[in-house]
Amino acid sequence: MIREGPSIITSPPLQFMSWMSLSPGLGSPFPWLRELKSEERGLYLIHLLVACANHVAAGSLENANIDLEQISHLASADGDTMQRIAAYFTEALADRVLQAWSGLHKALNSTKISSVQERIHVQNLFFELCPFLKLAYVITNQAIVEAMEGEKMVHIIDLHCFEPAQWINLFQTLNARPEGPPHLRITGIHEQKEVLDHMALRLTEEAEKWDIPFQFNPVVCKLENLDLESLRVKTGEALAVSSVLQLHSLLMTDDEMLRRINSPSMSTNLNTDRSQRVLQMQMHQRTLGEWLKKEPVHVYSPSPDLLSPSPLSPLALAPAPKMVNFLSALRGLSPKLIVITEQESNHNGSTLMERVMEALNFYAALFDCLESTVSRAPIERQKIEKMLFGEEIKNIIACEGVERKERHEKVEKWILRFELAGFEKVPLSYHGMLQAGRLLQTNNYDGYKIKEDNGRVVICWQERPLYSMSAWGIRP
Amino acid sequence: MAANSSSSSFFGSREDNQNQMIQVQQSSTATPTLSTAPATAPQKKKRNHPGTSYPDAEVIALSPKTLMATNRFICEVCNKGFQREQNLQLHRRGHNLPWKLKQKTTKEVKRKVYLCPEPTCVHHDPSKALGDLTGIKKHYSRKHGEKKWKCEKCSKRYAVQSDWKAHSKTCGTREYRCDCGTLFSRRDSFITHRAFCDALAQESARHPTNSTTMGSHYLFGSNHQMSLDQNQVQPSSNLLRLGSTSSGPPKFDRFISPVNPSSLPNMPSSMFFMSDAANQGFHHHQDHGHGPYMNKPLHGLLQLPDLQGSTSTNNNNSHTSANLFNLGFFSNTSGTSSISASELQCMGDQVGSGLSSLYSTSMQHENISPHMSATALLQKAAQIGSTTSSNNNNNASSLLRGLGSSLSTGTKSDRPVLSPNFGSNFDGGGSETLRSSQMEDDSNLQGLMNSLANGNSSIFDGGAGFGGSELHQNLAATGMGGGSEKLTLDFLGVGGMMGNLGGGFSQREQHGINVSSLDPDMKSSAQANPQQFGRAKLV
Repeated sequence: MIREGPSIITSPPLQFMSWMSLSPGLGSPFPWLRELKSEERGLYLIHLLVACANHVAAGSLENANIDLEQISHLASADGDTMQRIAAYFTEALADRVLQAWSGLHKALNSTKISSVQERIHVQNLFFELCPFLKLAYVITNQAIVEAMEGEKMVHIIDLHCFEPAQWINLFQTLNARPEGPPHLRITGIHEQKEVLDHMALRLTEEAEKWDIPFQFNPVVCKLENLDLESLRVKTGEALAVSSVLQLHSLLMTDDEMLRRINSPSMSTNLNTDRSQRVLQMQMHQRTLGEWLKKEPVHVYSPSPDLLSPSPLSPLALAPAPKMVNFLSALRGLSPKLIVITEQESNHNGSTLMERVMEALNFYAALFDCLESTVSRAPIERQKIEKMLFGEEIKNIIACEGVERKERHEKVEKWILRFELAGFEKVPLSYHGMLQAGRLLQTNNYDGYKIKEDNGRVVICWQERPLYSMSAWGIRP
Repeated sequence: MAANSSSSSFFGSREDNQNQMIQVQQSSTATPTLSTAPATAPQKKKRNHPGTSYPDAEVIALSPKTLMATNRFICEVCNKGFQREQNLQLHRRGHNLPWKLKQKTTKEVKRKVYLCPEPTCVHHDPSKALGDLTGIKKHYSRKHGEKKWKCEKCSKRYAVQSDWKAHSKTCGTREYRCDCGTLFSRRDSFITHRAFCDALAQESARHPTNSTTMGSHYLFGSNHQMSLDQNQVQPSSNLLRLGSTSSGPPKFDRFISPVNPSSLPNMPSSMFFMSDAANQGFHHHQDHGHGPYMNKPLHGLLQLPDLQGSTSTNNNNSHTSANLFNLGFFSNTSGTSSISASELQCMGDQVGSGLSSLYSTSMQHENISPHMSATALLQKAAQIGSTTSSNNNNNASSLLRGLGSSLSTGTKSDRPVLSPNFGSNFDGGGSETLRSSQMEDDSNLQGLMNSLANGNSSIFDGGAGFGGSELHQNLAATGMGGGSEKLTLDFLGVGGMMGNLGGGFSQREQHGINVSSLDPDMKSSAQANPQQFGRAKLV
């Protein structure tokens, strides 16, 4: 196909050669770059992104810089899907690079005004515009209703309580119970007091309407600082816990310290207090490396059932002492039901490239989905992309150690963790899935699929699983 | 005689017995519960008459052993067991034992009702006894017995053989299968499921509604004298059809998806050209007939807005560009900025500029191929990486060869090819040396160039500014020989890729930068190629 481009830059060889010797820092955007069609540009962007990530991972910052320069000509927060994804990813990569100069990094971030209002607003946008949270709530509520059949006193702990509609939906269902609604207590956890105040207001109001004896306990704190004991779970009440996209932040751990401890040199220091404590915390999970080293295992002789997972199991869990503690504290409360919704992607890999690749795939699907669903509200979409997904991407790529909170993991790993903690799987009801399907239908959400797999539910966008839900109870 | 009479009576009595039993059975099926007391036990089958039918029936409670005994009647001589007394009597004749067959009693037979021996069972209560011995036996097996019979097809188990037989006759014969793959044996559960499952499956199975082919018909007339490739004919018709369906964005995407992205930008221009009857200044690849043919499609175009009758603001047939506007808007019903709108707009405005406008609208191009979602792009990128394209005849490849892919030697072959789920083959970034990444660069480079050149309209030819052949000649002129073989291309992920693509400037520069830093290494690498293009050292 011969196309006669109007603006053909007929470059004689000489000119061509001279371009070659130009330094890349010239900054003049090559005209042909703009004439790349979006597909080719997209492919090019992917290419560049991966190259850049490679360089960042390898520490060759100069090359990374060049890549970033290249990408900057093509990526744009206002462009098409791939361009926007590239924009956020490169921002994250750049942030990571910058962290090598911690002074610079701190200085640049010192005057950042992080508006709490904006963040709350964005969370609300995400709830309203995308169906994911709604689906999660519907399925969670159905699971709760089914588990609490016959219970007179129900206590629900919501690990991220910000959307009244979640529980109002539950009120309606509980009210319709043949035995009447139970006495309901909801403990809502959130970092911002005003959110919880708003929740309290709305929920008490609605509970009155639906004639449900209701009590709301706000707990203003971060999830990682949450002390489950202080929640005053009363005996005799049936406890349910709902965690929507929250639990992964508890997987954060000081990777550096653990890596140091796992090194062979530490085996001689096994008797020091610190390593003892860490190793004890790690008793519940083993990485492949630890199994192979064997020494810590013998010294602390963990219980037999913990030894049973094969050392060569591909599902080796990343050590996460906080999670272990949290889950065991939770177990101590004897909840009747725990429903957990999480992103279905492995963003907790130990190497940067692993995370970049997984994140690319995951957020590509998410951006596509957003694009298709929120196509008519580009400003809102951009807000969600920038403040929600962009921040997640930044956290996944640029942060390490305890800073990195967005440690998403696939549902198989969650299953392992919960089972190790002593919980038993509770299959999510088909009825809940039906309701979710109906929700999608009535609101004309196209392209979403809800799949059920062995009691777990996976919410997909065009065959790509995005969010997974599973439910857990106490092993009797 | 006696035998005869007895046999006849035997038959008679047997028949009578059978009749009796049948009668009893029938009555048992007719009546809800055969109980001595006026109570109704909840039974599965629908019964007509609640209440006792035989208030004066004799209640018999058998032990489980007796109930389940298959052969209740034993011959004392040889210990052979029989299920029926008559059979035993007949058998006794053979032993020359005195035998007696029951005669049909003249008096009314006393009804017998049976109790289930299981104490927890409903039918343990005399008021809820069952009237048939066979019935109580079956009941006992079903409810309180071990299920010894298993269906081969499904894994259903049965305690009573007749149940099992009945089931295996119908197992698998009549089933309903939903689109999602779930099997149902019952029609009602199937329908319930399908009502909701349909919703779930609808999105993926939905086809873009196809209106008539009026679009193509009108636009191109009945003659496809436009020697546009088939590719280009279709997109336009699709686009026009799109206008008629006023679909949302996803459908729009689906429409466009089969279209070769490269052809799409051409299509509007072709429409433009056709509408621009007067201006024949652009004789591009479409060597369509002029004059007479132009009018027809023109007319068709003009007619289209009327047919659609939707959002068009001006239906006048004054200027085609205006109609093109409308046309664009039709396909733009969803509100997303669509190709046609922007493209047509451009072209409508610039009547004489032809394709230049197409290409100068830079950033609007992003909407040209909305079908390429980011996930699709990633998959494609992974595919490119995993295919080993060996098109050595390609311009691009020769270009690349000249580029200084000397570094990519045979060491590449052992590199793992990237799987579509790229990320899996990765060994953490820090482990690669820059040198090896360089090697991969080039072969990746080649791969990318090749595949792009093959798959899409290459950046080399066409308006990208640098004729590929030109470039090629240049390179050849500068004596860049040194072919390197095509090697496994893992496009993504493995090597630290420098920018490469397109006219290849940046890549060469990149090349230069990187290479310069590695120069000592490179020199020692396999092929001693002369300094290549990209080796211009950076300041």
